[in-house]
Amino acid sequence: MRDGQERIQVLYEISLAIGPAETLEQTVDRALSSYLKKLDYSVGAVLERVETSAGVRYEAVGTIPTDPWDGAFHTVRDQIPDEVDNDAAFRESLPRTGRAESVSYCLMDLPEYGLLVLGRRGAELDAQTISALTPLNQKLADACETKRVETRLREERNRFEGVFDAMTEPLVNVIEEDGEPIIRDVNDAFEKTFGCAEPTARGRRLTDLIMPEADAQSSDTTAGEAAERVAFGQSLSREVRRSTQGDIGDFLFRSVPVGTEAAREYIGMYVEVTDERDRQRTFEQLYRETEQILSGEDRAAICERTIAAVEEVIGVPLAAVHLYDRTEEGLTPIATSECLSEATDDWPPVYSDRGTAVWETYQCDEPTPVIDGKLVAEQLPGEDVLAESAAVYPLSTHGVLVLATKDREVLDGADYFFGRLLSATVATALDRARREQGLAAVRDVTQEALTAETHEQMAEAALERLPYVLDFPLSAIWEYDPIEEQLNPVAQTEPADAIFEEIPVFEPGNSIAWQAFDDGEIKLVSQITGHADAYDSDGPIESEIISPIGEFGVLSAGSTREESFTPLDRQLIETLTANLRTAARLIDRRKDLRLLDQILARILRHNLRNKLTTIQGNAEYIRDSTAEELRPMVDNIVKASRKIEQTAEHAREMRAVVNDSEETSEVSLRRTVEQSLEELRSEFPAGEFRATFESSPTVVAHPNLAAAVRQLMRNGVEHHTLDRQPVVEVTVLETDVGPTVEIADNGPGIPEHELGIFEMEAESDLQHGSGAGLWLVDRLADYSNASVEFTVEDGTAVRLTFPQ
Amino acid sequence: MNIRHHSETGTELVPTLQSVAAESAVEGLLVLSTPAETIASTSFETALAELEVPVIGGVFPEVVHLGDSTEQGAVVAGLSTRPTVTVVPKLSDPTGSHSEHLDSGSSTEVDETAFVFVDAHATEIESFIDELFRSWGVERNVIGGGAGTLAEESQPCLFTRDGVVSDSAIVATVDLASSIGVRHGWQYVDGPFRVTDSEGPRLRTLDDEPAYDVYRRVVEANGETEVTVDNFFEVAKSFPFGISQLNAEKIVRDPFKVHDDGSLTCFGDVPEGEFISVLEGEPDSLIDAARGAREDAISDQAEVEAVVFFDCISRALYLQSAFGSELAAVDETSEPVIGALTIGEIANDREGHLDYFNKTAVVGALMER
Repeated sequence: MRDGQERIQVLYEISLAIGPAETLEQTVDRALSSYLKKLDYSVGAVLERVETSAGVRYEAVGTIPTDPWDGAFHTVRDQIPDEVDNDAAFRESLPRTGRAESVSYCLMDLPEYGLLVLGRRGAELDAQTISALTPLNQKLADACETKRVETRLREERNRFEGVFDAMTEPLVNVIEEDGEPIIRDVNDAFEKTFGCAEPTARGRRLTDLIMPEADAQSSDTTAGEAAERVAFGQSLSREVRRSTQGDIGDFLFRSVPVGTEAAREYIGMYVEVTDERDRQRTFEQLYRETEQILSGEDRAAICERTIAAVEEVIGVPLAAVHLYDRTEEGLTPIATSECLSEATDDWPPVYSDRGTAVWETYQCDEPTPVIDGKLVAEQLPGEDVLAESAAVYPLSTHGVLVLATKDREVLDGADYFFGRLLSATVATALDRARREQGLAAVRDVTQEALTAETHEQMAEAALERLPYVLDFPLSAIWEYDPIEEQLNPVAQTEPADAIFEEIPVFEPGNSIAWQAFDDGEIKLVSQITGHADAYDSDGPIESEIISPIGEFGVLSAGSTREESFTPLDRQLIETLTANLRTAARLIDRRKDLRLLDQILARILRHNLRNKLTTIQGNAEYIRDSTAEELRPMVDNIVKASRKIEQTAEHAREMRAVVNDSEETSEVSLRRTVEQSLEELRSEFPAGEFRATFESSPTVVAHPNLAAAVRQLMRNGVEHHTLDRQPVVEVTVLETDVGPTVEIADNGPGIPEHELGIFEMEAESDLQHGSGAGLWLVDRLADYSNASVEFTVEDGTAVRLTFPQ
Repeated sequence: MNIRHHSETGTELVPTLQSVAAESAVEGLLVLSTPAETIASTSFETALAELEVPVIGGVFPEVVHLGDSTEQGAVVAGLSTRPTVTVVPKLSDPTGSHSEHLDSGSSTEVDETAFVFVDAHATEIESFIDELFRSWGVERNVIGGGAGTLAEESQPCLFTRDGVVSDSAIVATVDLASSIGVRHGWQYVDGPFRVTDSEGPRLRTLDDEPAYDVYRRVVEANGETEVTVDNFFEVAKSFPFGISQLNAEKIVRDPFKVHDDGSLTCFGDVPEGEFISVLEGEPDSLIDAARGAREDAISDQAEVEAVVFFDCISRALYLQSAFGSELAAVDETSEPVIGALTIGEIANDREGHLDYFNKTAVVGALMER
């Protein structure tokens, strides 16, 4: 009885030692120690069941002694299979007792966990005791499983915590309490970024720590809720701005919900994107600045905007744009930053020295890497400009952009990159401006050339402007002499006068100029020195463009620098010379027309009148002394000559109108009508002329407007073929469109084909003669900006309407 | 085995030590000494250091030589195999681990026996024993006990060639086969009582009652003895506690002190939550147990070189004049018996668990090589 009670007591005492300890190993050790002590056994082990691909393996978790398989107890180990194919069958066979080499052992199942091994030398293990151990073994198995799960969870947690702490992005573990995001944990990166260590941060509201003070309605909030508040229960990704140590940073806030419905929790990560956003802002700013640059109206404006862009976007204090000036033969400053202006007393220098980094950059069309320290002082303007580092960017063929820093700041990679970007944009803008300005200049030169009376005037007008509007300071024009078959100099620019005392004559085969003229092709020579066809390869001109001015001659633009001219320069010269050719032809044609006009005037004024007077006088004489039946013929002769006289008069009138086509003056419509009525009443006494003046406007019109009014009134009487008195009514009035003169007659109505004169201006229509008057009306209306409108209904009504 | 007894100890013993050590067949010395002031002296330590062979020794209340125990002198045994001696310091340090000093009980082809002596006044003896068992298992027979005196304070009581130490353990392994017998003979009186509050060796309550009250009630109910605080030590000699084991004698726990709060202090831990019983002993049962231990050790072993007997001093104090019978029971052998009266015993029998005993007789038969 007492033995049984003692057994129960001992088993109870063993059970007291079975339970989860700090670790799995401690759990097993405490339990095994009690098993062995209380049962007076000498060896014990707990093995964990491990599933493998081959089956099940049993691995020792704890043993007493430390290595129980050495020595005599290796026989016990041999009883435990390394790999069990049929684990279920193996476990069914437990408990398994045995004896090997004086060692008694027992293998017992730890359900759902593994195996318990007990052994001793000497006496066999008591079967009753072994059987009684079953509930203790279950308890031990449960304790081991609990610790195994705990260990796994702890390892996972440690792994998670390891990753949490090791992450280079700021991480925060947040739990919801009363709707607020309360910090549970932060990692080192969070502390470094936001300046709040874990002990201080824990338990505090996340938004209190990192929300910018002035950010009550920050750009990342939705309906006033910060991202950190709404992240519970959802995966969120949102850009936010948060206070960092002494600054504000841009972050991509990403959250992942963890936890349960009962305890809402998330892990938040702040991926810093400040640099990217700053870069984006810089790019946006650069975009805005480049838009300004590209829309610059001229090169000076572009350069000014370039400096503004440097100051705004790159923030470099010393900046200047130098453009190539062919007159100075150097890179002249067009725009400089305020800092640089101050440093150079508003007198930044011109770069003429070909040995400087600035010139090298310009000539090589490659950016110069950042120069540092001493070199900067030597190569940048002003001895007093203390720069730490500099970069020079070519602006294509236009010039250079120079950036430099001072006060120990150094241009970094980003600055250098933006400089390249900017310079590429500026080069594009300068290309456009040069092209536009150049074409505009060509247009201006052309317009001036068109007003020239002679070729010499044309050449001088062009050459006077070439150095300043097109930057071709060393230019000259030659005219072809077909008799001598040579190109004679006409004129050269003032700067060229300073270099060349005498302008050469070009003959066949002695120059590139003659080749250009002869071929009718523009020649761009980048290097004169050594050129086989050059007139003077040793002269001061190192490069030039020579363009034929059609059959007139050639224009040459030269430079004392090699490779000074660009394709755009060539294009401009080509356009200019094409225009000069047209101008030259126009001058010739104008000369011819002037001569013709003079001849016509003389013919119309004197020759024709004199002859007609003679014809009429003789005809009158003949009529008086000829037979009756011949008098109609004489009448016809007189009538015809009067017609010719009238036509001549028309022609004179037309000539006068055309000659004065550009002239305008203020004309009183009332007065014009009254004067016309007076004349016509006198000319056509049989006709009735009525006038109504609803207003008395004054218009700006051709000075000979009265001729049109008279012609229209005359037509109303002259072409009246009906059997009634011709009546012409004239009304002067103001309409919605403008001042109007309306002339209506009661004639048969103007034939439609007569109105064709207003559309066709060919001379063949005038041969019929009847069109001359209407042509006059048409031209005078056109020169006066007036409209002419005909209505044919019970006569003809014409409205001459002038602009308001 | 060359065995000598000298009537003096300490520095007086040095010539004997030197003499035995010098003998050609002696590879090590086992010295069981009674207390002497000179043992802790520099000169004694110097003498130990100069010996040619390793020494394992301890101070015990009494030593046993050829069937007698004495409070004087020392027993010196020359070992025929060289012992491997390890000193394990700071035995009372609860945070320390002693396993670094202990080699593993890796299998050897030669049977080994280990002598283990501990400072009986150290507080973590059972932890040390547990570690010893974890390291060695039952690959070696272990025999030994607690050294020191019955005075309450710890004094240097263990010595090797490296010096005389306290609060330590000495572990010495020898390539000698042995056989161990462990018995105590104490018998059940009452219980079991549940240890409802204890801390190490201090037993506070049994079944939620002050331990002293329960103890007194049991003892007075089972005898004519009145238990008081003043006579507790005397009474406790006769009525120890017993901790149950299955298939083995209870492990005795010897209470020796009562405190004002009714708690008792024992030699050895009394684990909280476990059950203990009150035991008593009859002289005959104790003597029979000692005899039984001898028989367990020596039976079937024909070639015994010597018998080592570690018996608890409290058994001698209990048996008093009858203790001679116990000695005689162990000495019923042709082999020389040496030993000591220890304060706590350490032994296993290469079968079961290694334990720390109280009031127990441990007999080890050392085999000839």
